[in-house]
Amino acid sequence: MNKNKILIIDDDVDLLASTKLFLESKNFEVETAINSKIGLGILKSFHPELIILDIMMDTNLEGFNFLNELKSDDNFKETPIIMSTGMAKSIGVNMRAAIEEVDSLPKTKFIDKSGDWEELLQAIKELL
Amino acid sequence: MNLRIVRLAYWLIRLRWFAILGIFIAYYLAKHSLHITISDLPVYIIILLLILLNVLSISFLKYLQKSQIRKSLKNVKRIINFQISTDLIVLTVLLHYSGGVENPFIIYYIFHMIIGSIMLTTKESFVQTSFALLLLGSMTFLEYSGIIQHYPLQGFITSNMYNNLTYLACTGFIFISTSYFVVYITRTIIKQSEKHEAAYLLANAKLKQKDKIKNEYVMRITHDIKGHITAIQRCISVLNEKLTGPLNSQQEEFVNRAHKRIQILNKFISDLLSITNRKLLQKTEKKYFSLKNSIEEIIKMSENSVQEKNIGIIKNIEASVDNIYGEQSSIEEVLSNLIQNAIKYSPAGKNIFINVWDKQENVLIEVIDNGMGIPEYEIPLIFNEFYRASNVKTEIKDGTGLGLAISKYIVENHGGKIWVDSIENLGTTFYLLLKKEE
Repeated sequence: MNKNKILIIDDDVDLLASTKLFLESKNFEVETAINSKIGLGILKSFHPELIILDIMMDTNLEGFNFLNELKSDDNFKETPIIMSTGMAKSIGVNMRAAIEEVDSLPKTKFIDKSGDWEELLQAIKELL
Repeated sequence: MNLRIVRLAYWLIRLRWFAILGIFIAYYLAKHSLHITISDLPVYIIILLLILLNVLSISFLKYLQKSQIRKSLKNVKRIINFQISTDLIVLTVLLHYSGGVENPFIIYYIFHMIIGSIMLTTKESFVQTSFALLLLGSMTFLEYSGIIQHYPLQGFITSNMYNNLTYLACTGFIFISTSYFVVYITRTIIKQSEKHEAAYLLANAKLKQKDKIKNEYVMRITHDIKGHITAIQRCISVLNEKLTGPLNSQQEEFVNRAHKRIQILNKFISDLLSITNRKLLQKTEKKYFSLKNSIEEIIKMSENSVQEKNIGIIKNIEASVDNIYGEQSSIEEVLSNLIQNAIKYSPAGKNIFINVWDKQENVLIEVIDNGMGIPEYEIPLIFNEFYRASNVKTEIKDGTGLGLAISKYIVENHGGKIWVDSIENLGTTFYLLLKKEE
Protein backbone atom coordinates (compact mmCIF):
# COMPACT_ATOMS: atom_id res chain seq x y z
CA MET A 1 0.00 0.00 0.00
CA ASN A 2 1.24 3.46 -0.89
CA LYS A 3 2.04 5.87 1.91
CA ASN A 4 -0.21 8.95 2.16
CA LYS A 5 1.72 12.13 1.50
CA ILE A 6 1.49 15.00 3.96
CA LEU A 7 3.01 18.49 3.77
CA ILE A 8 3.46 20.42 7.01
CA ILE A 9 3.88 24.18 6.85
CA ASP A 10 4.88 25.77 10.15
CA ASP A 11 7.46 28.37 11.19
CA ASP A 12 8.56 26.31 14.22
CA VAL A 13 11.41 24.00 13.14
CA ASP A 14 11.30 21.90 16.32
CA LEU A 15 7.65 21.28 15.79
CA LEU A 16 8.27 20.38 12.15
CA ALA A 17 11.03 17.91 13.04
CA SER A 18 9.07 16.13 15.76
CA THR A 19 5.80 16.03 13.87
CA LYS A 20 7.52 14.73 10.75
CA LEU A 21 9.15 11.94 12.74
CA PHE A 22 5.90 11.06 14.43
CA LEU A 23 3.83 10.99 11.27
CA GLU A 24 6.49 8.96 9.49
CA SER A 25 6.25 6.42 12.29
CA LYS A 26 2.53 6.26 11.54
CA ASN A 27 3.34 5.36 7.96
CA PHE A 28 2.95 8.71 6.23
CA GLU A 29 5.34 10.28 3.78
CA VAL A 30 6.08 13.76 5.13
CA GLU A 31 7.64 16.94 3.77
CA THR A 32 8.01 20.18 5.69
CA ALA A 33 8.24 23.89 4.91
CA ILE A 34 9.00 26.77 7.26
CA ASN A 35 6.85 29.29 5.44
CA SER A 36 4.10 29.38 2.88
CA LYS A 37 6.38 30.49 0.07
CA ILE A 38 8.62 27.44 0.44
CA GLY A 39 5.46 25.40 0.97
CA LEU A 40 4.14 26.49 -2.39
CA GLY A 41 7.36 25.39 -4.08
CA ILE A 42 7.28 21.93 -2.46
CA LEU A 43 3.58 21.60 -3.18
CA LYS A 44 4.15 21.59 -6.92
CA SER A 45 6.66 18.74 -6.94
CA PHE A 46 5.47 16.74 -3.92
CA HIS A 47 1.68 16.71 -4.57
CA PRO A 48 0.62 16.02 -0.97
CA GLU A 49 -2.72 14.39 -0.22
CA LEU A 50 -3.08 16.54 2.88
CA ILE A 51 -1.59 19.79 4.14
CA ILE A 52 -1.14 20.75 7.79
CA LEU A 53 -0.99 24.52 7.89
CA ASP A 54 -0.05 26.86 10.73
CA ILE A 55 -2.02 30.10 10.86
CA MET A 56 0.26 32.58 12.60
CA MET A 57 3.62 32.62 10.91
CA ASP A 58 5.42 35.74 9.61
CA THR A 59 2.15 37.58 9.82
CA ASN A 60 -0.79 36.76 12.06
CA LEU A 61 -2.87 35.62 9.14
CA GLU A 62 -0.30 34.14 6.78
CA GLY A 63 -1.95 30.73 7.02
CA PHE A 64 -5.32 32.12 6.03
CA ASN A 65 -3.85 33.95 3.08
CA PHE A 66 -2.14 30.81 1.89
CA LEU A 67 -5.34 28.84 2.34
CA ASN A 68 -7.16 31.30 0.11
CA GLU A 69 -4.47 30.95 -2.51
CA LEU A 70 -4.77 27.16 -2.44
CA LYS A 71 -8.54 27.19 -2.60
CA SER A 72 -8.52 29.38 -5.68
CA ASP A 73 -5.91 27.20 -7.44
CA ASP A 74 -7.55 24.45 -9.52
CA ASN A 75 -4.67 22.05 -8.83
CA PHE A 76 -4.97 22.21 -5.07
CA LYS A 77 -8.47 23.29 -4.18
CA GLU A 78 -9.48 19.68 -3.53
CA THR A 79 -6.51 18.99 -1.22
CA PRO A 80 -7.66 18.51 2.39
CA ILE A 81 -6.17 21.00 4.80
CA ILE A 82 -5.78 20.96 8.57
CA MET A 83 -5.40 24.47 9.97
CA SER A 84 -3.81 24.72 13.37
CA THR A 85 -2.74 27.38 15.79
CA GLY A 86 -1.54 27.65 19.36
CA MET A 87 -4.51 29.87 20.04
CA ALA A 88 -7.52 28.33 21.66
CA LYS A 89 -10.52 28.72 19.42
CA SER A 90 -12.41 30.80 21.90
CA ILE A 91 -9.80 33.50 22.31
CA GLY A 92 -9.10 34.23 18.68
CA VAL A 93 -9.47 37.96 18.59
CA ASN A 94 -9.86 38.89 14.98
CA MET A 95 -9.49 35.28 13.94
CA ARG A 96 -12.80 33.98 15.02
CA ALA A 97 -14.67 34.92 11.89
CA ALA A 98 -11.85 33.57 9.76
CA ILE A 99 -11.80 30.31 11.72
CA GLU A 100 -15.52 29.85 11.30
CA GLU A 101 -15.08 30.36 7.61
CA VAL A 102 -12.37 27.69 7.58
CA ASP A 103 -14.63 25.29 9.43
CA SER A 104 -17.33 25.79 6.82
CA LEU A 105 -15.05 24.99 3.89
CA PRO A 106 -15.16 21.43 2.51
CA LYS A 107 -12.24 19.16 3.39
CA THR A 108 -10.85 21.71 5.81
CA LYS A 109 -10.55 21.28 9.52
CA PHE A 110 -9.42 23.53 12.28
CA ILE A 111 -7.61 22.11 15.30
CA ASP A 112 -5.86 23.60 18.31
CA LYS A 113 -2.16 23.05 18.18
CA SER A 114 -1.19 20.92 21.16
CA GLY A 115 1.49 18.53 22.25
CA ASP A 116 -1.04 15.76 22.10
CA TRP A 117 -0.96 13.77 18.86
CA GLU A 118 -4.43 12.34 19.21
CA GLU A 119 -6.36 15.30 17.84
CA LEU A 120 -4.00 15.61 14.90
CA LEU A 121 -4.22 11.92 14.03
CA GLN A 122 -7.97 12.00 14.35
CA ALA A 123 -8.21 14.97 11.98
CA ILE A 124 -5.93 13.29 9.45
CA LYS A 125 -8.02 10.13 9.56
CA GLU A 126 -11.19 12.14 9.00
CA LEU A 127 -9.88 13.99 6.00
CA LEU A 128 -8.05 11.23 4.15
CA MET B 1 -21.45 66.10 10.84
CA ASN B 2 -21.89 66.93 14.49
CA LEU B 3 -24.72 64.63 15.45
CA ARG B 4 -25.63 66.44 18.64
CA ILE B 5 -26.64 69.59 16.81
CA VAL B 6 -28.71 67.63 14.30
CA ARG B 7 -30.45 65.79 17.10
CA LEU B 8 -31.20 69.11 18.76
CA ALA B 9 -32.54 70.54 15.50
CA TYR B 10 -34.99 67.66 15.23
CA TRP B 11 -35.87 68.08 18.88
CA LEU B 12 -36.71 71.72 18.24
CA ILE B 13 -38.99 70.68 15.40
CA ARG B 14 -40.76 68.19 17.65
CA LEU B 15 -41.15 70.87 20.33
CA ARG B 16 -42.75 73.07 17.75
CA TRP B 17 -45.45 70.53 16.96
CA PHE B 18 -46.27 70.55 20.66
CA ALA B 19 -46.21 74.35 20.65
CA ILE B 20 -48.69 74.43 17.76
CA LEU B 21 -50.94 72.01 19.61
CA GLY B 22 -50.48 74.09 22.77
CA ILE B 23 -51.47 77.31 21.03
CA PHE B 24 -54.55 75.65 19.65
CA ILE B 25 -55.59 74.22 23.02
CA ALA B 26 -54.87 77.49 24.87
CA TYR B 27 -56.83 79.43 22.28
CA TYR B 28 -59.75 77.00 22.45
CA LEU B 29 -59.86 76.92 26.26
CA ALA B 30 -59.52 80.69 26.59
CA LYS B 31 -62.29 81.29 24.12
CA HIS B 32 -64.79 78.58 25.04
CA SER B 33 -64.17 77.83 28.70
CA LEU B 34 -62.93 81.15 30.03
CA HIS B 35 -64.92 83.25 27.56
CA ILE B 36 -62.01 85.56 26.88
CA THR B 37 -62.24 87.49 23.64
CA ILE B 38 -59.45 86.71 21.19
CA SER B 39 -59.31 87.60 17.51
CA ASP B 40 -59.69 84.36 15.56
CA LEU B 41 -58.09 85.13 12.23
CA PRO B 42 -54.57 86.02 13.45
CA VAL B 43 -54.48 82.80 15.53
CA TYR B 44 -55.44 80.64 12.54
CA ILE B 45 -52.93 82.37 10.31
CA ILE B 46 -50.18 81.93 12.88
CA ILE B 47 -50.96 78.25 13.37
CA LEU B 48 -50.82 77.67 9.63
CA LEU B 49 -47.62 79.66 9.37
CA LEU B 50 -45.98 77.60 12.12
CA ILE B 51 -46.96 74.34 10.43
CA LEU B 52 -45.51 75.60 7.18
CA LEU B 53 -42.26 76.72 8.86
CA ASN B 54 -41.87 73.38 10.59
CA VAL B 55 -42.40 71.41 7.39
CA LEU B 56 -39.86 73.64 5.67
CA SER B 57 -37.32 73.10 8.45
CA ILE B 58 -37.74 69.33 8.30
CA SER B 59 -37.28 69.23 4.55
CA PHE B 60 -34.20 71.41 4.71
CA LEU B 61 -32.66 69.35 7.52
CA LYS B 62 -33.30 66.11 5.63
CA TYR B 63 -31.77 67.63 2.53
CA LEU B 64 -28.67 68.70 4.48
CA GLN B 65 -28.26 65.26 6.03
CA LYS B 66 -28.44 63.63 2.64
CA SER B 67 -26.02 65.99 1.00
CA GLN B 68 -23.38 65.29 3.70
CA ILE B 69 -21.41 68.39 2.82
CA ARG B 70 -19.02 69.86 5.32
CA LYS B 71 -20.84 73.15 5.31
CA SER B 72 -23.93 71.33 6.59
CA LEU B 73 -23.13 72.06 10.22
CA LYS B 74 -23.25 75.78 9.59
CA ASN B 75 -26.51 75.36 7.74
CA VAL B 76 -28.08 73.34 10.53
CA LYS B 77 -27.16 76.14 12.91
CA ARG B 78 -28.74 78.57 10.47
CA ILE B 79 -31.95 76.57 10.52
CA ILE B 80 -31.96 76.61 14.30
CA ASN B 81 -31.31 80.36 14.42
CA PHE B 82 -34.01 80.91 11.84
CA GLN B 83 -36.45 78.74 13.75
CA ILE B 84 -35.84 80.54 17.02
CA SER B 85 -36.11 83.97 15.41
CA THR B 86 -39.33 83.14 13.62
CA ASP B 87 -40.71 81.61 16.80
CA LEU B 88 -39.98 84.81 18.67
CA ILE B 89 -41.71 86.87 15.99
CA VAL B 90 -44.70 84.54 15.95
CA LEU B 91 -44.92 84.63 19.74
CA THR B 92 -44.84 88.43 19.70
CA VAL B 93 -47.58 88.65 17.06
CA LEU B 94 -49.66 86.12 18.96
CA LEU B 95 -49.23 88.09 22.19
CA HIS B 96 -50.08 91.32 20.44
CA TYR B 97 -53.45 89.95 19.39
CA SER B 98 -54.12 88.54 22.87
CA GLY B 99 -53.49 91.31 25.34
CA GLY B 100 -49.86 92.18 24.65
CA VAL B 101 -47.82 92.67 27.81
CA GLU B 102 -50.89 91.84 29.90
CA ASN B 103 -50.87 88.23 28.67
CA PRO B 104 -49.11 85.96 31.23
CA PHE B 105 -47.76 83.91 28.30
CA ILE B 106 -45.02 86.54 27.89
CA ILE B 107 -43.08 84.22 30.19
CA TYR B 108 -42.76 81.90 27.16
CA TYR B 109 -40.00 84.08 25.75
CA ILE B 110 -37.84 82.52 28.48
CA PHE B 111 -38.31 79.05 26.90
CA HIS B 112 -36.85 80.29 23.65
CA MET B 113 -33.92 81.78 25.50
CA ILE B 114 -33.19 78.49 27.23
CA ILE B 115 -33.59 76.50 24.01
CA GLY B 116 -31.34 78.99 22.22
CA SER B 117 -28.69 78.75 24.93
CA ILE B 118 -28.67 74.95 24.67
CA MET B 119 -28.24 74.90 20.90
CA LEU B 120 -26.33 78.04 20.01
CA THR B 121 -23.08 79.69 21.00
CA THR B 122 -22.97 82.17 23.87
CA LYS B 123 -22.88 85.11 21.48
CA GLU B 124 -25.79 83.82 19.41
CA SER B 125 -27.80 83.15 22.57
CA PHE B 126 -27.36 86.72 23.78
CA VAL B 127 -28.22 88.08 20.34
CA GLN B 128 -31.42 86.00 20.23
CA THR B 129 -32.30 87.12 23.75
CA SER B 130 -31.77 90.76 22.87
CA PHE B 131 -33.86 90.23 19.75
CA ALA B 132 -36.69 88.79 21.88
CA LEU B 133 -36.51 91.71 24.31
CA LEU B 134 -36.48 94.14 21.39
CA LEU B 135 -39.61 92.54 19.96
CA LEU B 136 -41.41 92.55 23.29
CA GLY B 137 -40.26 96.11 24.05
CA SER B 138 -41.33 97.43 20.64
CA MET B 139 -44.73 95.83 20.91
CA THR B 140 -45.23 97.22 24.40
CA PHE B 141 -44.04 100.70 23.36
CA LEU B 142 -46.17 100.78 20.22
CA GLU B 143 -49.26 99.70 22.15
CA TYR B 144 -48.47 102.13 24.99
CA SER B 145 -48.04 105.08 22.66
CA GLY B 146 -51.17 104.13 20.75
CA ILE B 147 -49.37 103.69 17.42
CA ILE B 148 -50.81 100.20 17.16
CA GLN B 149 -54.05 98.95 18.60
CA HIS B 150 -54.17 97.15 21.95
CA TYR B 151 -56.33 94.01 21.98
CA PRO B 152 -57.40 93.59 25.60
CA LEU B 153 -58.13 90.11 27.00
CA GLN B 154 -61.71 90.92 27.94
CA GLY B 155 -62.98 88.64 30.66
CA PHE B 156 -59.45 87.99 31.99
CA ILE B 157 -57.69 91.28 32.75
CA THR B 158 -60.09 93.76 34.33
CA SER B 159 -57.98 96.92 34.40
CA ASN B 160 -55.64 98.20 31.70
CA MET B 161 -51.98 97.59 32.45
CA TYR B 162 -50.49 98.17 29.01
CA ASN B 163 -50.54 101.93 29.55
CA ASN B 164 -49.49 101.87 33.25
CA LEU B 165 -45.90 103.17 33.16
CA THR B 166 -44.91 101.98 36.66
CA TYR B 167 -46.16 98.49 35.88
CA LEU B 168 -44.34 98.48 32.53
CA ALA B 169 -41.09 99.74 34.04
CA CYS B 170 -41.09 97.16 36.84
CA THR B 171 -42.12 94.28 34.60
CA GLY B 172 -39.56 95.36 32.01
CA PHE B 173 -36.74 95.45 34.53
CA ILE B 174 -37.63 92.06 36.00
CA PHE B 175 -38.10 90.53 32.56
CA ILE B 176 -34.86 91.85 31.10
CA SER B 177 -32.73 90.84 34.10
CA THR B 178 -34.36 87.41 34.28
CA SER B 179 -33.78 86.83 30.57
CA TYR B 180 -30.06 87.61 30.60
CA PHE B 181 -29.58 85.77 33.84
CA VAL B 182 -31.31 82.67 32.48
CA VAL B 183 -29.11 82.73 29.38
CA TYR B 184 -25.98 83.18 31.46
CA ILE B 185 -26.83 80.27 33.78
CA THR B 186 -27.90 77.97 30.94
CA ARG B 187 -24.77 78.72 28.92
CA THR B 188 -22.56 78.02 31.95
CA ILE B 189 -24.22 74.66 32.53
CA ILE B 190 -24.14 73.74 28.85
CA LYS B 191 -20.46 74.68 28.52
CA GLN B 192 -19.67 72.48 31.50
CA SER B 193 -21.54 69.55 30.04
CA GLU B 194 -19.92 70.07 26.63
CA LYS B 195 -16.54 69.98 28.30
CA HIS B 196 -17.45 66.75 30.08
CA GLU B 197 -18.78 65.23 26.91
CA ALA B 198 -15.58 66.04 25.05
CA ALA B 199 -13.50 64.59 27.87
CA TYR B 200 -15.65 61.49 27.92
CA LEU B 201 -15.36 60.99 24.17
CA LEU B 202 -11.60 61.40 24.34
CA ALA B 203 -11.31 58.97 27.23
CA ASN B 204 -13.48 56.48 25.39
CA ALA B 205 -11.34 56.69 22.27
CA LYS B 206 -8.19 56.22 24.33
CA LEU B 207 -9.69 53.24 26.14
CA LYS B 208 -10.62 51.58 22.87
CA GLN B 209 -7.10 52.07 21.60
CA LYS B 210 -5.63 50.60 24.79
CA ASP B 211 -8.05 47.72 24.61
CA LYS B 212 -6.85 46.92 21.14
CA ILE B 213 -3.20 47.00 22.19
CA LYS B 214 -3.97 44.78 25.17
CA ASN B 215 -5.86 42.28 23.06
CA GLU B 216 -3.00 42.00 20.63
CA TYR B 217 -0.54 41.64 23.49
CA VAL B 218 -2.52 38.85 25.09
CA MET B 219 -2.87 37.11 21.77
CA ARG B 220 0.84 37.36 21.04
CA ILE B 221 1.83 35.99 24.44
CA THR B 222 -0.70 33.20 24.18
CA HIS B 223 0.65 32.19 20.85
CA ASP B 224 4.31 32.40 21.80
CA ILE B 225 4.12 30.54 25.12
CA LYS B 226 1.92 27.82 23.72
CA GLY B 227 4.17 27.52 20.69
CA HIS B 228 7.23 26.72 22.79
CA ILE B 229 5.40 24.32 25.05
CA THR B 230 3.88 22.48 22.13
CA ALA B 231 7.24 22.12 20.41
CA ILE B 232 8.88 20.80 23.60
CA GLN B 233 6.02 18.42 24.22
CA ARG B 234 6.19 16.99 20.73
CA CYS B 235 9.96 16.62 20.83
CA ILE B 236 9.76 14.72 24.11
CA SER B 237 6.89 12.64 22.73
CA VAL B 238 9.17 11.52 19.93
CA LEU B 239 11.59 10.14 22.50
CA ASN B 240 8.88 8.85 24.77
CA GLU B 241 7.26 6.84 22.00
CA LYS B 242 10.70 5.51 21.08
CA LEU B 243 10.45 6.78 17.52
CA THR B 244 14.20 7.38 17.57
CA GLY B 245 14.96 3.90 18.84
CA PRO B 246 14.97 2.16 22.21
CA LEU B 247 16.01 3.95 25.40
CA ASN B 248 17.72 2.37 28.36
CA SER B 249 15.65 2.17 31.50
CA GLN B 250 17.17 5.25 33.13
CA GLN B 251 16.74 7.35 29.95
CA GLU B 252 13.19 6.14 29.69
CA GLU B 253 12.48 7.07 33.30
CA PHE B 254 13.69 10.63 32.86
CA VAL B 255 12.01 11.16 29.52
CA ASN B 256 8.86 9.92 31.19
CA ARG B 257 9.23 12.38 34.03
CA ALA B 258 9.80 15.25 31.60
CA HIS B 259 6.87 14.15 29.48
CA LYS B 260 4.51 14.08 32.45
CA ARG B 261 5.65 17.46 33.71
CA ILE B 262 5.29 19.09 30.34
CA GLN B 263 1.77 17.73 30.07
CA ILE B 264 0.88 19.28 33.42
CA LEU B 265 2.57 22.52 32.42
CA ASN B 266 0.66 22.61 29.17
CA LYS B 267 -2.63 22.16 30.95
CA PHE B 268 -1.66 24.76 33.52
CA ILE B 269 -0.75 27.32 30.88
CA SER B 270 -3.93 26.62 28.95
CA ASP B 271 -6.00 27.17 32.09
CA LEU B 272 -4.06 30.26 33.07
CA LEU B 273 -4.43 31.76 29.62
CA SER B 274 -8.07 30.81 29.54
CA ILE B 275 -8.87 32.68 32.74
CA THR B 276 -6.63 35.66 31.88
CA ASN B 277 -8.12 36.00 28.44
CA ARG B 278 -11.63 35.76 29.77
CA LYS B 279 -10.95 38.49 32.28
CA LEU B 280 -9.07 40.71 29.89
CA LEU B 281 -11.01 40.31 26.71
CA GLN B 282 -14.47 39.80 28.11
CA LYS B 283 -15.59 38.70 24.72
CA THR B 284 -18.62 36.53 24.63
CA GLU B 285 -20.63 35.37 21.72
CA LYS B 286 -23.85 34.10 23.16
CA LYS B 287 -26.57 32.27 21.31
CA TYR B 288 -29.17 29.54 21.88
CA PHE B 289 -27.75 26.02 21.86
CA SER B 290 -28.84 22.59 22.99
CA LEU B 291 -27.64 21.92 26.52
CA LYS B 292 -28.77 18.34 26.16
CA ASN B 293 -26.55 17.77 23.13
CA SER B 294 -23.61 19.47 24.84
CA ILE B 295 -23.87 17.22 27.88
CA GLU B 296 -24.14 14.11 25.74
CA GLU B 297 -21.16 15.23 23.67
CA ILE B 298 -19.01 15.80 26.76
CA ILE B 299 -19.96 12.43 28.22
CA LYS B 300 -18.97 10.82 24.94
CA MET B 301 -15.63 12.61 25.01
CA SER B 302 -14.95 11.31 28.51
CA GLU B 303 -15.42 7.69 27.45
CA ASN B 304 -11.69 6.88 27.48
CA SER B 305 -11.01 8.00 31.03
CA VAL B 306 -14.27 6.44 32.20
CA GLN B 307 -13.41 3.05 30.75
CA GLU B 308 -9.91 3.18 32.26
CA LYS B 309 -11.37 3.53 35.75
CA ASN B 310 -14.39 1.31 35.13
CA ILE B 311 -16.75 4.14 36.01
CA GLY B 312 -20.28 4.45 34.66
CA ILE B 313 -21.86 7.81 33.94
CA ILE B 314 -25.58 7.67 34.64
CA LYS B 315 -27.40 10.61 33.18
CA ASN B 316 -30.95 11.72 33.77
CA ILE B 317 -32.02 14.71 31.73
CA GLU B 318 -35.57 15.97 32.18
CA ALA B 319 -37.35 15.71 28.83
CA SER B 320 -38.34 19.37 28.68
CA VAL B 321 -34.73 20.58 28.92
CA ASP B 322 -33.15 21.57 25.65
CA ASN B 323 -32.01 24.99 24.46
CA ILE B 324 -30.39 27.54 26.73
CA TYR B 325 -28.84 30.93 25.95
CA GLY B 326 -25.10 31.39 26.44
CA GLU B 327 -21.67 30.95 25.02
CA GLN B 328 -21.62 27.32 24.04
CA SER B 329 -17.88 26.68 24.20
CA SER B 330 -17.63 28.30 27.66
CA ILE B 331 -20.58 26.41 29.13
CA GLU B 332 -19.16 23.21 27.67
CA GLU B 333 -15.85 24.02 29.32
CA VAL B 334 -17.61 24.30 32.68
CA LEU B 335 -19.50 21.04 32.20
CA SER B 336 -16.35 19.31 31.05
CA ASN B 337 -14.44 20.62 34.08
CA LEU B 338 -17.07 19.31 36.48
CA ILE B 339 -17.39 15.93 34.78
CA GLN B 340 -13.62 15.49 34.44
CA ASN B 341 -13.23 16.35 38.13
CA ALA B 342 -15.90 13.84 39.08
CA ILE B 343 -14.08 11.14 37.11
CA LYS B 344 -10.67 12.14 38.43
CA TYR B 345 -11.68 12.16 42.08
CA SER B 346 -13.85 9.01 42.00
CA PRO B 347 -12.40 5.68 43.01
CA ALA B 348 -12.45 2.97 40.33
CA GLY B 349 -15.77 1.23 39.92
CA LYS B 350 -17.93 4.00 41.44
CA ASN B 351 -20.58 5.57 39.22
CA ILE B 352 -21.10 9.24 38.49
CA PHE B 353 -24.58 10.74 38.20
CA ILE B 354 -25.55 13.69 36.06
CA ASN B 355 -29.04 15.07 36.64
CA VAL B 356 -30.54 17.94 34.70
CA TRP B 357 -33.74 19.52 35.99
CA ASP B 358 -36.07 22.00 34.37
CA LYS B 359 -36.62 24.82 36.89
CA GLN B 360 -38.92 27.19 34.95
CA GLU B 361 -36.58 30.04 33.95
CA ASN B 362 -33.48 28.05 34.88
CA VAL B 363 -31.87 24.70 34.36
CA LEU B 364 -30.30 22.96 37.33
CA ILE B 365 -27.46 20.57 36.63
CA GLU B 366 -26.13 18.21 39.30
CA VAL B 367 -22.86 16.37 38.91
CA ILE B 368 -22.65 13.76 41.67
CA ASP B 369 -19.69 11.57 42.49
CA ASN B 370 -18.93 9.14 45.29
CA GLY B 371 -15.33 10.16 45.51
CA MET B 372 -13.01 11.46 48.19
CA GLY B 373 -15.06 14.58 48.93
CA ILE B 374 -13.84 17.94 50.13
CA PRO B 375 -12.98 18.70 53.78
CA GLU B 376 -15.78 20.90 55.16
CA TYR B 377 -13.59 23.86 56.07
CA GLU B 378 -12.21 23.96 52.55
CA ILE B 379 -15.54 24.07 50.73
CA PRO B 380 -15.73 27.90 50.66
CA LEU B 381 -12.23 28.07 49.19
CA ILE B 382 -12.32 25.66 46.30
CA PHE B 383 -13.51 28.21 43.72
CA ASN B 384 -10.52 30.44 44.45
CA GLU B 385 -7.79 30.68 41.85
CA PHE B 386 -4.91 28.23 42.41
CA TYR B 387 -6.65 26.64 45.39
CA ARG B 388 -6.45 22.88 45.61
CA ALA B 389 -8.04 20.97 48.43
CA SER B 390 -5.50 19.43 50.81
CA ASN B 391 -6.68 15.85 50.27
CA VAL B 392 -6.41 16.00 46.46
CA LYS B 393 -2.99 17.60 46.47
CA THR B 394 -1.46 14.50 47.94
CA GLU B 395 -3.33 11.99 45.81
CA ILE B 396 -3.68 13.63 42.42
CA LYS B 397 -0.81 15.77 41.31
CA ASP B 398 -1.93 17.07 37.92
CA GLY B 399 -4.58 19.59 38.97
CA THR B 400 -3.95 23.24 38.19
CA GLY B 401 -6.21 24.80 40.79
CA LEU B 402 -7.81 26.87 38.06
CA GLY B 403 -10.58 24.69 36.65
CA LEU B 404 -13.19 25.67 39.23
CA ALA B 405 -12.12 29.32 39.22
CA ILE B 406 -12.63 29.42 35.46
CA SER B 407 -15.96 27.62 35.83
CA LYS B 408 -17.18 30.07 38.45
CA TYR B 409 -16.10 33.01 36.33
CA ILE B 410 -17.94 31.67 33.28
CA VAL B 411 -21.10 30.78 35.18
CA GLU B 412 -21.31 34.17 36.88
CA ASN B 413 -20.70 35.87 33.57
CA HIS B 414 -23.81 34.06 32.36
CA GLY B 415 -25.85 35.23 35.32
CA GLY B 416 -25.86 31.70 36.74
CA LYS B 417 -24.74 30.11 39.99
CA ILE B 418 -22.37 27.32 40.90
CA TRP B 419 -22.07 25.72 44.31
CA VAL B 420 -21.07 22.50 45.97
CA ASP B 421 -22.14 20.02 48.65
CA SER B 422 -19.57 17.59 49.87
CA ILE B 423 -18.83 15.14 52.64
CA GLU B 424 -15.28 13.94 52.97
CA ASN B 425 -14.80 10.30 51.93
CA LEU B 426 -18.43 10.03 50.80
CA GLY B 427 -18.71 12.20 47.75
CA THR B 428 -19.34 15.54 46.19
CA THR B 429 -22.22 17.15 44.33
CA PHE B 430 -21.65 20.19 42.16
CA TYR B 431 -24.73 22.26 41.31
CA LEU B 432 -24.94 24.48 38.29
CA LEU B 433 -27.89 26.81 37.84
CA LEU B 434 -28.09 28.34 34.37
CA LYS B 435 -30.61 30.74 32.91
CA LYS B 436 -32.53 29.49 29.89
CA GLU B 437 -33.15 32.86 28.29
CA GLU B 438 -31.07 35.90 27.55
